[in-house]
Amino acid sequence: MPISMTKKQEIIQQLLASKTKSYQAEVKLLLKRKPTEANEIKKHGKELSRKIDNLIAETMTDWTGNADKIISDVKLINKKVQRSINDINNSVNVAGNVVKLVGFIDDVVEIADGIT
Amino acid sequence: MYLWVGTRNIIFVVTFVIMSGCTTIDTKPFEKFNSSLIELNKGAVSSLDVTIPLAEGRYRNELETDLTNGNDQLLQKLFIQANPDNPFFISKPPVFLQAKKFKLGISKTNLVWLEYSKLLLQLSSKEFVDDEKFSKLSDELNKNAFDAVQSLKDDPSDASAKNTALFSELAITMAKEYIRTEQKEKLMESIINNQEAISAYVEHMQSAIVTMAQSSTQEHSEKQQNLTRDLISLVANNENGKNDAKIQKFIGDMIDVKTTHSDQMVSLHALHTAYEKIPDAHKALAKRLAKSDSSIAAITDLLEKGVQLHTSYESKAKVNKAELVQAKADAANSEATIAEFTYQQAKLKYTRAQFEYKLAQNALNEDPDNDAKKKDAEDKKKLAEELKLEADSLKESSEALRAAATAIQESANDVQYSIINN
Repeated sequence: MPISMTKKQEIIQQLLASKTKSYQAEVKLLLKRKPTEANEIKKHGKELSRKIDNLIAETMTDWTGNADKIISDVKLINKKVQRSINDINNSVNVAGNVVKLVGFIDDVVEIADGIT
Repeated sequence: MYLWVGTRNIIFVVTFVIMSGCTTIDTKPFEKFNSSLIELNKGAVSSLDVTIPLAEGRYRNELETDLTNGNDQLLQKLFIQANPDNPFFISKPPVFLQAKKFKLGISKTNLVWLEYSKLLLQLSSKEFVDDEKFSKLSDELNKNAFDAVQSLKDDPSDASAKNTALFSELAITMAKEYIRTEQKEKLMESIINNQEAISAYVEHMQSAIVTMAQSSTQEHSEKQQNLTRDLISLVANNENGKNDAKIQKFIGDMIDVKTTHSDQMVSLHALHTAYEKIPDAHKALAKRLAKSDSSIAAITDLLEKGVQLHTSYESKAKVNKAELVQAKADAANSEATIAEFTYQQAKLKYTRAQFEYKLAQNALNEDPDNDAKKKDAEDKKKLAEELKLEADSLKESSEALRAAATAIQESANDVQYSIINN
């Protein structure tokens, strides 16, 4: 299953692939004792790396911004669930009162039963 | 009498209706769901704990190189800049500082969802219909009713007490069932309403995991490239094997970088897959509520993934710790070996010089008035003496380094033993 990515993440992925390839090329040139060419590749690779750094930082900023929205939405959801819990807690009390009331009727019935 | 019959009928009907839909909530799926999210949360930010220090180290090194070359591009990221329109403006920081905020954001997001699953668990809890509270209520009710009957009738017969108790028990059961029904309805409502939000959360977390993977690849590839450059340079300038020990050290470091990166990719991929299972697990909670024999395989699957991830993180942490202490011992051992080798070389030089001196001295003995031979013997004697001093000093330091390396290895053995046995 393909991994879903945002547009920026797709670009980062492509740039990472290019950068690691350029690093491999730099190594090959160094091994062939062509330092000038290797340095030229290194310079461009570094530029690419800084672009990637900037894009990763931007992705993190975007993510954190969106997370703030999600966090506040979930906080609202949690408040609603908490309200449900409170409602039920109140209902327990109501039910308790109902029990008491029914018990009271029970008493009255028993009393009336005893008298008549 | 009419009141008695009427009340009994009403209570019978209501009780029958409620009892026939006997509402119980199985809390186990909710407990499992909660545990799964806890396990996933533990693994969610651990890759950043490795990537952030790598990114900071790289930034510091590159900043120094930049400044040496007269560039201020990286330094700009540390500048505090004011914006003409925004009093709260923060300029773009280096990526490692952004990653720290990102890590905090992930933890905060996971925490609110953990809170949600905790609330679901609370809402499903049997504790809600507090049996103890109801039992106490029931006891009081029966006692009061019985006392009232007794004071009026003056006939504390068993039958009267039993009737009163039975009637009160029915009322308690009714109340309990009423609460359980309400509890179940609220739970169903919450789960169904929040399904969409759960999916959005999962998508968001998976996106964070992709960014963590990319950040990890960025940092590890940078680290590896620096090591590769140094390694190639050492190999190119390795006359007479003088760099052999350093070369092996760099190769070891490269193996470590590759291993850490691979471990992180495997863990992050597993985490990505585990998050994918959350929506189905959440949906399974609603299904289980609606139908008590409905499968909770999705929740179990999620929990297993979470536990596996956590176990793998723990075992990796142990391996990392063991590797770390062993790496220190290996480094000390290498240092001691290099010192011993240097001492042996110095000793060899001294032996040769001493031999040369003896030859010169023999030549002088055969021709004692020869000034040139006299000077040659004196020079060689002096050189031999200097080399002896140097060799003695190297012997001392190599012995000290060997003793230190042995002590470090012994302490590494102790640490490894304690890790294995805990």
